Amino acid sequence: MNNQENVPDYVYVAVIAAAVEKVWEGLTTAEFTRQYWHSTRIRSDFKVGSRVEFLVENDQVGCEGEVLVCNYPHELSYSWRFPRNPDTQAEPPTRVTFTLESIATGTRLTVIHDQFVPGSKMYELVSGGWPLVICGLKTLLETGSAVDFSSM
Amino acid sequence: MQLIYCIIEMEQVFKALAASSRRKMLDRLHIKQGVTLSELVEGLDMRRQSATRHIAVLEQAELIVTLWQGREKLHYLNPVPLEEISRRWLDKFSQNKAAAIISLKQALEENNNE
Repeated sequence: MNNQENVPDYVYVAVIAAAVEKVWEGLTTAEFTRQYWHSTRIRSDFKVGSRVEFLVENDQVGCEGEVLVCNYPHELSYSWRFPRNPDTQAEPPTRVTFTLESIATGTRLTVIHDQFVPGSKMYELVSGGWPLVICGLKTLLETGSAVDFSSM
Repeated sequence: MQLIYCIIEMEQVFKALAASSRRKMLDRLHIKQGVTLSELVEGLDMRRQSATRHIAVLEQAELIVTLWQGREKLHYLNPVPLEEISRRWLDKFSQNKAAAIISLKQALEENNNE
């Protein structure tokens, strides 16, 4: 992770051929997330201060956080921790921020994941995950086909 | 319309990856994200002007994303376009096989270097 203060750790960008409202829906509704986000279902009312949960099988919470910013349909930010992972339980929550920018060809989606503590285990845990999730969202919105995670 | 756009996008990615100096820059960002221009090109034997040009090509292909932090421009590796390429040709069965072959290749090459 980056040791300089306030410097984002991970920055990802995808250009998605869909309207910002559609991309927002893809990020915030369970019907969409279960199709591309490691089969998880997101649950939140997306009000600042409300909980955000990613439900896995048996309705257990795989990932959780709190809504920090919600400006429909351009900016969404929530804190992020894995409550059931013993390696990262002791770490303070990190922060994920989605910025959706309307461009001629659709939406430019930027995902920033930051606020990792030095030596964070979560930093390594999430490093390979975001490209899969973002690419899955792009594929789903552009082609309508879900991602098969059974072999990944 | 959408398809044409995707093809252009992918061409830019391959074009950007075609130069070894640009691949070297991506290698550096793979090790450390969020670096300044001078950190990125340090020891690369490259004039600042040509470095800026290479970065512009990588940025156009969205392989590098830049963010302003105060007065500093920071560079990040964006692996999303590479993930798209890998998805296009690696189906779910060959993906596992390819991963196995890559680890075997890495293991063998490491042994050779010792």
